[in-house]
Amino acid sequence: MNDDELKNLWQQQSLRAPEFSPAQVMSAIQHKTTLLRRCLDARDIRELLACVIAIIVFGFFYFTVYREPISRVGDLITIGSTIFIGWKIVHTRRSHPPAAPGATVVESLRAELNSVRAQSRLLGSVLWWYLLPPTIGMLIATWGLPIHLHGKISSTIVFLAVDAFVYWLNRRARAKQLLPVEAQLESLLHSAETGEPLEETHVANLRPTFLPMAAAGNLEPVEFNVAFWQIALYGEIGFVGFWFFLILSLAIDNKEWKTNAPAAQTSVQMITTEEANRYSVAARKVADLMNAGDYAAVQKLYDAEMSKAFPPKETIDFYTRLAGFGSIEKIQGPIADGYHGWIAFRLQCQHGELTMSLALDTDNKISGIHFQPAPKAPLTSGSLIREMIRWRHLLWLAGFFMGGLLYSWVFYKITQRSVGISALGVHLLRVQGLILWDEIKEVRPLRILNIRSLWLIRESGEKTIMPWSSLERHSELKEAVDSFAPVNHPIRRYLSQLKRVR
Amino acid sequence: MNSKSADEHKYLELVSENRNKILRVCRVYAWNSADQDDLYQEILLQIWRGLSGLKEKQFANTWLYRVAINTAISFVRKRATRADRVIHFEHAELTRAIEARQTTEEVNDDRMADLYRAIYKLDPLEKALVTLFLEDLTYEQIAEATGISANHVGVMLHRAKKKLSGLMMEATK
Repeated sequence: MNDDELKNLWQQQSLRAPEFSPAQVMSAIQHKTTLLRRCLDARDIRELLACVIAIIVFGFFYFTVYREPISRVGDLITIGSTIFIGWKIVHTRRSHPPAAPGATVVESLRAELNSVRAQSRLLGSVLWWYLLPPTIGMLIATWGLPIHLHGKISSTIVFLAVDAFVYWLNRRARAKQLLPVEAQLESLLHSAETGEPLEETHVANLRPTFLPMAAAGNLEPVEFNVAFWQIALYGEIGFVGFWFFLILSLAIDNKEWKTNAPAAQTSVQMITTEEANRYSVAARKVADLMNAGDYAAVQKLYDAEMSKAFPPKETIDFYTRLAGFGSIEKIQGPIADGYHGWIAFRLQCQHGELTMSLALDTDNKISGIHFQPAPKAPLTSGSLIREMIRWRHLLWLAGFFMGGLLYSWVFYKITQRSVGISALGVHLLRVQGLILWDEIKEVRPLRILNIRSLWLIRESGEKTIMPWSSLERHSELKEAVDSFAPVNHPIRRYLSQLKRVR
Repeated sequence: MNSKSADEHKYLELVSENRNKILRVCRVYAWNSADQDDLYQEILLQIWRGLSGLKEKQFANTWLYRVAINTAISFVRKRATRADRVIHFEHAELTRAIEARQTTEEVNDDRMADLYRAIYKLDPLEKALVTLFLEDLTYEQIAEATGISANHVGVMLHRAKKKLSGLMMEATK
């Protein structure tokens, strides 16, 4: 066929009429233009919204929670970093707009390549502009806080772990998505500018794969979900783990509960039995009057100087506030040196323990009295466990457990149809796409806990993970692989790992 | 007539005059009817967006091809990253349609199917050049539409036509 015949054939081909009237096209286009504008605006709004949220959260910390100057500097660095990040993303996107619709192919490819390169650079340098600045801010804010060292170390570990994960995700996205597109565009542009043929490796997937008619009926994949309990196993480990570390850090940091001071023992001060009796009687008297609510009578036990310093009204107010501990059930002591070296007694009240330090004059009048919440037992692994499994904390555990189930359920729903098997190959989640049977050169197992996955390895060495023993309906999975996978395909070796079926 | 309705009128006129050209480009770059409809809409959207850049009607022909080819190449690249890249039924659909027809156009349809099968195997730039050549544009017009120099157009088109003829012969065997 010569050129003219070919052109003639081309011009005369019958074409399927599109199913839109001019008016419908117009309306659809206007709708689409609005959507496009909304979409562009939404992306910018999303970045700005993230900035606003960071400003509100860290601004709140700045003005209310963290009053320490160093922490406040950290808050300011974090706020500044977030604003910088938002600006950088929006600025990069806007400084590389797509070519105008009427641009030539070469201009259009160049504009697209510039945009992809900018995105690629952005992802490649994510450590310096996206991760490091806010992390420095948050670390300064954390280490400037008057919290326990354990809390600071665990927060630092969490921040660094999250950063490492985000860094890995970005590097992966760059390598898997942007670099191939960049290479493809470079190849197209190079060919257009020099007239040289395209580099085949970069453009191979721009062509359709042709299938024989016989295969057409088997293209619809048989789909499989990952079983809910398999997802829940990991979900629950994660959520219960969160609970454990949260409660552990709360228990360690709970100043009211533990003390590093040694427990109060018997008196270290050598006092005579007579002295001890004298103080015990006075302490008993004070306790009885407190239990009776007769605070005015307590005031009458004070010596002249104390009475002057603490007149009846102040004394009544003071003991009324102290009544929050409930009635005194037991007095122990004298136990140790108390406040200012006075004689101390342990008061076991209904709602806690108090240490009462007394000083008596020679007439057995109270010349000094001091109350403070009693120090608790020292930190031991036993007491830590007891503190952690208090009913209040166990209630939280129930909440976290339910949270784990909810998370697993949501994850289960969004991973539905996670694997499909067809005559073409293995269909994975949309983002990962389809791997043709012939593309899979090697299959290797990966076992975590009792769940086995498979690495599908292409000739290029690119590895893709595929759930295997976690998939539901093992008998149907076996049948699908048996029917569709080519004979001697390496995936068949792993059929025996599926649950034995009747 | 206000400016907006004048634009709408200009747009509708341009689209209806060039409908077949756009549809042929869609058929080259999209491999099934659903994709063809999507690409057709996408091209119409880009024509609407770029209409203000079209100064003189006499340049509309090259301008329209630029928009259509650019949109189509971008469309193919985006589709190529999606999971459904392999499920292109055009070949099967085309074959099925040909098999179903018992008309006098049968011979032409057969040759057309061979031509499309061969075109599908070209790369996006070769497709653009071959399409514009089949649309009867001169080398200069093709160069103007694609931004590729006229000399390179000659070289690349020669290579693409040779490849196309080889593929068509292979298909007819």
